Amino acid sequence: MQKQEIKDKFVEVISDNLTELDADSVDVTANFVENYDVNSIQLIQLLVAAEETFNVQFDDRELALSKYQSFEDVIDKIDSKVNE
Amino acid sequence: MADRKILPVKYPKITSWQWHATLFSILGDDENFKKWVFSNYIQLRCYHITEIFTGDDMLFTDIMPGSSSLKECPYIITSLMTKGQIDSYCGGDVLDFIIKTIDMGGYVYGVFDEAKIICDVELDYKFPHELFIYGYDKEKKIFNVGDFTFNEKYAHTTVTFDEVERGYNVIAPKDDHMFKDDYKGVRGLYVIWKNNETPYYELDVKLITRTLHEYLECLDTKDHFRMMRNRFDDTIFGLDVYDTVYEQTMKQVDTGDFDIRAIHIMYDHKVLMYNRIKYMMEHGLLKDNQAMVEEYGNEVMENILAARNLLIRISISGQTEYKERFKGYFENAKKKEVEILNKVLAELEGR
Repeated sequence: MQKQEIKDKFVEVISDNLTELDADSVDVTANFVENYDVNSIQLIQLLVAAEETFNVQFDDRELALSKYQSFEDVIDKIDSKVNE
Repeated sequence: MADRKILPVKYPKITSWQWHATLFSILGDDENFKKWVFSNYIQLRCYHITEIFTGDDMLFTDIMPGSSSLKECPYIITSLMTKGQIDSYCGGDVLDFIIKTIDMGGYVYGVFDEAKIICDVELDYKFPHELFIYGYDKEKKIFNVGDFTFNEKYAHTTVTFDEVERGYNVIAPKDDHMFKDDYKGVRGLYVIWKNNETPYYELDVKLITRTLHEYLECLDTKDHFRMMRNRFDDTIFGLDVYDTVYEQTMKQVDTGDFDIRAIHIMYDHKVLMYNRIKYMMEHGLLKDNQAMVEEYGNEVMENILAARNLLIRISISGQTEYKERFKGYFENAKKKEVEILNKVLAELEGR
């Protein structure tokens, strides 16, 4: 799967799970805690949904907010799992 | 009187409870404060209480000295102001009191009905919660506050003058859990002054050694403070907190009624212990042993973080087949923590 496709699908995951955000206008490179107030529970919600969408598994340690700065970091992690 | 003033705060290193988040917001990375924190914040304890908002049973878990830190930390001076005093000094105008306090360099901390802050319509219930106020802007009519309620995580944010006034006015003495345990029938606010210019406290190796021993042996650390309080004897201490939190968590998984706060404070306890060990090595109180620091981080801290994440995963997915994995994280963390802290304790006792 190409990275652009992963990004597009992940934006849909954001749209479905963080309904308070306008997913289409989200800057995936921005710090998601500072810019979008993403918290630990919301991130785990996104990663659990991404597991189903991309048929990948996140280790429980990889669910920590401190492991990522932006949605792009999450996309990179999914990319590495999908294409490993 | 200024139109705008914001007292200094830093995003706190630990955020589990509002009193810790407030203290760490005010004192941040202050080097003197670190000596006090690393000498204390060692013993974990838990006991069952009735949750003030829901009336449900709750396993209240905290690191000692708990909420007393706002009265006992030598790097702040806390004045307890009753509502009667506030009314008398400022003609019943709590906004005037808060602004004047901030102008003088005092932080304000107290119980407000935060239902009045998060919701515009009238509700038939209250949500009494501590609010930490550290700044104001008269033009925008806002206060700068630290709280968990408004962003679903601890955040430094703003609320309006009107919301704060409404949230303050409806609190009754029975709602004010900061006052009601010790001062029946009274409510009020804490005014907190920063007091960190002069060193008052050295890193206390004797206290660290004693409390580590009590943590590992699950002894009653509260027993040292019987002069002030002696009403409760149902507290669980030290390593036994692992087992009690584990049992409570399994009940939550079975009932689907989740509360991650106990595991979150356990995680903060591990973060502080990790930093304490590093600090003591950096200051020559323990032999430099980076392998031990890494082991504590990877095997104790990370296992508790994984357990917390897994509990959130279970709460979202409803999949309860992860119970064994959860148990494994707790068992591994506890085993490794016992091993490392016994080594630390032996080294401190052999000094």
